[in-house]
Amino acid sequence: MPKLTIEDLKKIRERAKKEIALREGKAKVKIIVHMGTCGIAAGARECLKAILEELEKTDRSDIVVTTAGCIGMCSTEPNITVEIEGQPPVVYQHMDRDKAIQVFRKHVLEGEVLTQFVLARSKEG
Amino acid sequence: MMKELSMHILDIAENSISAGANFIDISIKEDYKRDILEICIKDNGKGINGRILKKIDDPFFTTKSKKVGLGISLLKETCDMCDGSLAIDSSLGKGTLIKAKLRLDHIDLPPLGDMVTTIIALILRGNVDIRYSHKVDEKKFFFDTGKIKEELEGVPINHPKVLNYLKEEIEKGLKEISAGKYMWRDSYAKAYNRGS
Repeated sequence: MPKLTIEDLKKIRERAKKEIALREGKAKVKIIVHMGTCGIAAGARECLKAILEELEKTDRSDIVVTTAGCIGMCSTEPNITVEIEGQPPVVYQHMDRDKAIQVFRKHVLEGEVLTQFVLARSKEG
Repeated sequence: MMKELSMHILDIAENSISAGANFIDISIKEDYKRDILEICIKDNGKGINGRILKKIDDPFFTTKSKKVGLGISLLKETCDMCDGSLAIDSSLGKGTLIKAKLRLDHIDLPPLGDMVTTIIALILRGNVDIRYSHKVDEKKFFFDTGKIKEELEGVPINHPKVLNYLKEEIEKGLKEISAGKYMWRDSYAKAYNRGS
C-alpha cells in the first residue's frame, strides 16, 4: 500500500465529512477497551490493536472505538465493552487478540453476543 | 512488570487523563553516545500535592478508591533495574512531569515496543491533545494532534480512516529515525518477551 500524504488527509477529511452528514454524526456502535494499569499489563493494548485492524478491513464509519479506565474488575482484564444502539451494553472479560477479533466479527458486525466471554450484560438497552 | 516501555508510557499517560489532563507531552530521547534513554511525560492535569508526592512510588498507595497504585512504582522498578532514575515534578493546578532515565545498553532494559498503538490508544480518548517527540541521536520525529485536528476541520480524529492515516504517519516517522537501533528490532522484543 502506498504511503499516505497530507493531501490524502485532506481527501479523507472531505469524504468523512460527507459520511458524517449522511448519518447525522451518530455512531451506532461503540467499542470501549479498558486501559487501566491492570488492563494494559494484561494485554488490552493488543486487543485494541486487533480491533482497529478488523475495523480497517470493513467500510463501516458508524463504529467508534475508544478507551477508558479500569472498571474495577482487575482480575478479569482485559475487559472490552460493546454498546450497540438500542441494545444492552455487554462487558467482555479475559480478552486476548483472538477473542477480541471474535467479538468484533460476531457481536459488532453480526449482532451475536458471545455469551462464553461475557462478564456482565446490562438490562437496559 | 510491563513487557514494553511503551506500555509504561501508555499507563502513565492514562493516569494523566484520570487527573483531568487535556494535554499530554510525551518526549523520548535515545542518546546512544551517552548511553541514556530519557522518557518525559508532562501533563496539564490537576497536579499532585507534596504529601502525596512523597508516597507516590509506594505500590500500595493510590488516590483512587479500592485500587493499588502500581503504575508509577512499576516504572520506578524498571528504572532502578536499568541503573536509571525516576523523577516527578508536580504543581497543584498546573500539572505533572514524570522523567525516567535508563541506561540504553543495560541488559535488563525492556524494548520500547509498540509506540504506534500507544499513541493511537491515547488519541482514541478524543478530548486529549497529544504532542509526541522522539529523538534517536540526531534524528527527530514530531507529532501533534492539535495540528492534525486543525487540519481535520471538525471531522473527529477517531474516525476510522483518519486513524489509519495517523497510524501510517507515526509508523513511517518512527521507522525513519530508528533504522538499525537494537531497541526497535523485533527479534530483540520477542526474545525479551519470551524471557519475562
